[in-house]
Amino acid sequence: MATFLELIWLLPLLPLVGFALNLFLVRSERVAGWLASALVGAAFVLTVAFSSQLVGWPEGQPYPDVVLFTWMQLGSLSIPFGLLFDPLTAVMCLLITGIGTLIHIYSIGYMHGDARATRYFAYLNLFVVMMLMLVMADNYALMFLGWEGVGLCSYLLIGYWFERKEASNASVKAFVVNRIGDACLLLALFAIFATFGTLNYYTQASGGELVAGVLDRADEIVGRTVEAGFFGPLLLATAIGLLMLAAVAGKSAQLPLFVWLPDAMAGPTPVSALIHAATMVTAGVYLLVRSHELIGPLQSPAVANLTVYVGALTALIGALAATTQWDIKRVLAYSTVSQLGFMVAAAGAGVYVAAMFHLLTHGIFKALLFLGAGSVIHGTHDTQDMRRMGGLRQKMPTTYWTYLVGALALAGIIPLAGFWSKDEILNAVVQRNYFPALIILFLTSLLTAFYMGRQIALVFFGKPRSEAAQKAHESGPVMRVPLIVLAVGAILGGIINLPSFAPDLPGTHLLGDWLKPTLEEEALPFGAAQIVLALVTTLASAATGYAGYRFYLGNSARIKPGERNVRDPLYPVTGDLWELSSEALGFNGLARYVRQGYTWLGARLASFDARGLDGLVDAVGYGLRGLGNNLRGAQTGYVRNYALLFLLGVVVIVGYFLLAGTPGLTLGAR
Amino acid sequence: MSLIPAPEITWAIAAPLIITFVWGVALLLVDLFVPDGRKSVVGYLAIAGLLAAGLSAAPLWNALDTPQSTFNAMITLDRPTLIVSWLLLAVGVVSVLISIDYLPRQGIERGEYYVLLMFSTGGMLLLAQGSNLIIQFLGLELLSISLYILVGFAYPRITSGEAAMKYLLLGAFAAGFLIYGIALIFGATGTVDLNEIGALLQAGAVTSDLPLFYIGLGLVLVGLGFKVSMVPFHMWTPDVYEGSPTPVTAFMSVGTKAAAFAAMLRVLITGALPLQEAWGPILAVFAASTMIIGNIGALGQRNVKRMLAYSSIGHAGYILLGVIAGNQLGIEGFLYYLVAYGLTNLGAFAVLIALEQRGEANWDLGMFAGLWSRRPGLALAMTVFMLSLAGVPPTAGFFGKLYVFTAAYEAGLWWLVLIGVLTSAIAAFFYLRIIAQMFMREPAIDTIAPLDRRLAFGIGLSVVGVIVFGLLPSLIVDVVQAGVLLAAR
Repeated sequence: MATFLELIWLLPLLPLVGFALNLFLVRSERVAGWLASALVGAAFVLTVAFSSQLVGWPEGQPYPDVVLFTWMQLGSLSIPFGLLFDPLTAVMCLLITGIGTLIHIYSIGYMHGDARATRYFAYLNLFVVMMLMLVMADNYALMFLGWEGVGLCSYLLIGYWFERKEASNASVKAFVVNRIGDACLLLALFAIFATFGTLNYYTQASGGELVAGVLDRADEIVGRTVEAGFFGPLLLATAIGLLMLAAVAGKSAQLPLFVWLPDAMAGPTPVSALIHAATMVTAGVYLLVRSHELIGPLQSPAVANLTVYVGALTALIGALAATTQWDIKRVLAYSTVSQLGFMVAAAGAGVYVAAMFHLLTHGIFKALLFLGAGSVIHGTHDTQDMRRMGGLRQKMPTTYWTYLVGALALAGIIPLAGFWSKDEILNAVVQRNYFPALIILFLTSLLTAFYMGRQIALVFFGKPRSEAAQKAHESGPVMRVPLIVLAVGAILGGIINLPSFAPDLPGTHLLGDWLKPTLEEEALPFGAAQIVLALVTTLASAATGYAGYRFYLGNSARIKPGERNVRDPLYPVTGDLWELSSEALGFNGLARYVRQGYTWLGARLASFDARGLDGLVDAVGYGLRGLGNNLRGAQTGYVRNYALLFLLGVVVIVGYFLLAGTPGLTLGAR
Repeated sequence: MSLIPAPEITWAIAAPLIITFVWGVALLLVDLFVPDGRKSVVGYLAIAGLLAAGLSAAPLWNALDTPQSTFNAMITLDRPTLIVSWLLLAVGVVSVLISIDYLPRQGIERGEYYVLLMFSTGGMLLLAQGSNLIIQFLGLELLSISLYILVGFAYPRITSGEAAMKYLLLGAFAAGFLIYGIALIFGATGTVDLNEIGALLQAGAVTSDLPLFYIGLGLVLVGLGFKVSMVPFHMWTPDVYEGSPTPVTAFMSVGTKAAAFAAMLRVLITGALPLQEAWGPILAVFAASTMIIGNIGALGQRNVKRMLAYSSIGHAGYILLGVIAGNQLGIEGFLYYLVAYGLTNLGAFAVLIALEQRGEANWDLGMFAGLWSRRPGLALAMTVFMLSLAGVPPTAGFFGKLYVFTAAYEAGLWWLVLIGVLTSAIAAFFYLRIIAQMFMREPAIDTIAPLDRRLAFGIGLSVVGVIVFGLLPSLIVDVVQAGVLLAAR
């Protein structure tokens, strides 16, 4: 059935058709919504069909890699426009199209009545196209196309409600921060190309001969160094790894670049669910997993250690910040930062199955939580402040129950999906001897349970604390059905990768087996120690989660809406630490400085320009005035200033060439 | 006294040049008989002339597997130069196309406009094809003098006159350095023929006079650097680009740059390649400051025309990378970048022209607000151009950058690549700002100026080019590679 798999290019094509139709032809909101959903849904069905073809794929046979055409040919660099469908790509595609379909359907209800809804669906379709390109690309250059593309869509969708000032600010922030990561990724690609002479992942037929890909030849990188100036010689794998890690930090919201993600919540909630929780932000994790042969712990221990601790610390800071937010979506956003930290830590430790497992389960339950939050916001007429909620349990039963499932899954309560995947990550860091990381991640798990307990209590229990909460209503079926489907997924998701006590127990570590051809990773051992760790974690999480719930339920009377700066009931205990963590330990301030710097520079340059570089020229002018030559003569305009700078350039160039040309002072000439 | 022997002339090689100039002169006379109000006829005739010049060069491609000279080696054609020549003629055609509707709209329609444009294009051809410093100077002056007038062509607007004045003053200033540099080079080597200079340097025949040669080379680079707006000789660019009639800005930003870069390539690669270790570092520093100043300067601009002016400075920096790399890949990348940048920039200015109302001359970012709901086609086209200028795949601009960066990387200039990547990361900010305006704002003005067919055609052509060359860059890359492979050196 290899011929059937040659149709994988249909996957990105379907949503692309949706994008084009919605952009150009469709004018009705209803049609746009259903068309967009149907096409992504069709892509999901196809993905399932394609994936089923991979079951029982003969070992050693190359996976389908469809080269549509040669994208470019520069000197020795040949880049195909090729799509790959291996087990790793397959699971990513399932996640993207599966959750994508549900979120498209949900959006039909959520965006109802929005003036520009057709454009919204067009953007959403384009995002799916780009995300599929990112994961299906068979080389780094095409992957970069998707990487930039999802960034562009994210930028457009965060700023979708541009009338709100925070939305356009947030989109700029997301953009600026992401560009830092993107630039690093591009540099990493240059380094890879310079080393290997190709950017293809795997061996590919080209012009009648097989050309080995980067990841097949990754061993060549071992022991090679580059001169990094001041820092002395650096392992090449470390250099590439550091650049990639910076790219991951940008896209997957890790230290110190995570600050854009909470602000990105200014976009519509389904967008937060799809792009800023389930898919785009996991692109960084995907990059780490895909490139593991190149920058794994064997190739560069330094990058591996750094990645583990970047991930672990991000997890902790994200959880601290999530605990101290009032905005229902910002809690979830920081929680996403925190959970991405778990995945990055696992990938850094070299346990890629655990990272992918958590990526998938998290995609399900975090999408569920965001959609639940969207339902709450929708039902309370755009209330996002949890101080103005409360008591929604009876008014929105479906939302409540599904949200509860999502919260328990996130908190890692047995036997929900999050328990299994988070436990696997804790096990992974133990196996790789990262004990400090284990402690950090363990504490983070407890905090996670705590803030979800807090949120459940504040949103769904107690008495309604505002008129909007009083009059809240349940959302329509088009929004409820996706919630229920995702809730089922959040309950059962753990099945895909259960640990096994004995070797080869049937039905266990399915995901690990599935990904084995790509990741070549044995399942982690699971014995008495692991069971104890798992039980301790889940029990402690349950306890702290319950504590959070009780505490905020008991103190809900003290939270009065309408007053500005209502302090959290925990504030008297923590004092200023509360404020510190609500600002993500000052990283938000850091980002502010960066942005201010950007604006400052822009404004400075605008005035600089308006005054015709007078500032700079003045400085030079003072020096020349000493010659008694008043440069500010009768002439109008600024031509004299331009000429002065011009002259300086001439002096530099002639001076340089004089030095270069004078015998005895040669600068390497001849 | 013997007569000066007439040099042997291969007319085929000089054909594009001769057709352009002769047609231009003839057009000046034809213009006399074209009544006012129907001057577009002159425009169409100019297009025909430029196309004829382009076609006349078509048979040369195969013949040029070795460079060929004529007029006593005054002009030399090789394949890279031929590609640049075609680009220049195409730029001329598009510039006329986007002017035909613009001029009457601004009330400045005159037949001489098209003639001057043709002369200027001819000057550019001469500059690009000249293999003799004097000829290059002649070409430079020809194109400049025509441009001084064209810049001031929107005379009802005072800024246009101001721009022409500034350009003239600084242009004269720069030309002084250029001619002085040529004199010094002649003093050092006894020739102004670039091929001979190259041979002399290769043989190590210039020794005691080498300092003189170096200074001369430096001054020549100053003169050409002025034309390509290399920092610190770039200061005129924003003012002149803003003041000029927009089609002239488009023409200048692509044509002048391409021609002057081709001349720079000739001087450095044909002439001074043996001294690459000397000119490489200083040009690298200038390229770095050009990329930085150009892109950062654009950051604070709300005036789109000025923004594009700064952006064109930044792009000059990227093109310089290809020249400095000086290797096979570098020259290929240089040519590809010129084509990609030319297409994109012409398109972007054409959109600006489409939006420009008579007398309205602030070119504020706000004029793009809500363009998507007013004119979706224009908005999409502008999006493509902005993405290409920003270097986002899969547009032609992305490959241009990739190409020159790869070349510079292979030449060991990784720090320049670093600056290039970082500045293009910054640059994306102001390009995407325009996209954000178009898609995410409500329109500030409701009026929709009707879109002229010729303008729409020009824009459409550019969009198709940018996307096709982005998706299938091999279309140009193959041509460029074939060109450069055979023209080693």
